[in-house]
Amino acid sequence: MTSRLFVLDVPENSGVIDVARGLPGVRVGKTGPYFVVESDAPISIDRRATGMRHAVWYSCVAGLEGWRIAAWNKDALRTEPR
Amino acid sequence: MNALSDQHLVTGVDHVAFPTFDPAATVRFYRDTLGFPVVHSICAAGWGPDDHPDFIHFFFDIGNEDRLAFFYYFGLQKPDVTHGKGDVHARFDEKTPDWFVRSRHLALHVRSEEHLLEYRRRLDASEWPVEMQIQHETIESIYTHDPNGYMVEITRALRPVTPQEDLDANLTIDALVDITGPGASLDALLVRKAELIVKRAEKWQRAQNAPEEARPAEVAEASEGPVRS
Repeated sequence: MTSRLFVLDVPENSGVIDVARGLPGVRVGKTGPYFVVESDAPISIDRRATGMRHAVWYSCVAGLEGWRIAAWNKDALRTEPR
Repeated sequence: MNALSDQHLVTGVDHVAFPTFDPAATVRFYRDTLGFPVVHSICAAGWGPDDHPDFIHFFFDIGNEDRLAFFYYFGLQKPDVTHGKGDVHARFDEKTPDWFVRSRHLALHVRSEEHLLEYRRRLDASEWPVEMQIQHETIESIYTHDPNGYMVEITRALRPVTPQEDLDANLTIDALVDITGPGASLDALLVRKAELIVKRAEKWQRAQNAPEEARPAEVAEASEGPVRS
C-alpha cells in the first residue's frame, strides 16, 4: 500500500527531499507548499547524506499517512507500515 | 460583531514583570551591561492590604516601546537558591531536567548578526557572560542568566518567516488541539496533520497564487484560525 510523508517546502528541508528523490521506488510530488514523499515500501533516509543539522532534522516531518516512524535518530529516519 | 471584532488589535508587550531580590545587580545587568534605559518606576507604600510590603516597581525599555519590569519588595525574604534549580520565583529540585527549567525564558529580538554580537560583547565583559551561542533552524541566539536566575535569550532571524510557515504553524496547532488529551503523542499529531495538509494545503496554494484582490476570503478559508497576512 502506498504511504506518504509530508515535508514543508522551506530551504532548510531541501536536504531530506534531495535524498528522498534518489531512493529506489520513492516518488516526490507536491501538495500546496508541502513535498509529498510517497512509496509502496517503508523508507530510510540517512541524515548525514541530507547534510541537515540536528534541530532541522528532528523537525522536518510535517505529516504521516500510512506510515509510522520506526526510528528517528542522529543517523537515520526510518518509516514502517502503520 | 462590530467593526473591530475580527481585528488583531494588540501592538506588543506593554510589560512583562518579574520579582527581584537584588535590585542593584538587576540594574547592573539590564541598564549598565545591556544598556536598556530605565523608563518608569513606582515607589509604593504597601498596596492596600496590611501584609503587602512597600515596594519599587521599575521598568527597562526593551525596544519597540515594550518594557521589562521588576518588583522589589522591601523586607521580603529571598528564597534559598543554594540548592535545587531555577530562579528566585520558580524553584525546582535537582532531579528536574534542565530542558524543563529552561523552557520558560525571555527572548529579545535583534535585527542583525552585528547587533547580536554587540550584546555578546557587552555580556562577555560583564559578570554574566554568554553561556551558549546557538544557531538553530532559522535563528541564531545567545543565552545567559540574569542576576535573578531568569534565563535571557537574545535572538536574530537568519531569514524572514515565509508564508508557508504560517500555514504550517496553523495546521500544527489545529492538529494539536484535535489530538491533545491523555496519550497524546507526536505520532498522533503527524497523522492528524497529514489529514489537514491533504484537506487545506492545495486550497491555500491556490489562494496564494490568486490575484491580490481575490486573496483575503480564500486565505481565511484555508485556515480556521487567524493567519498573519
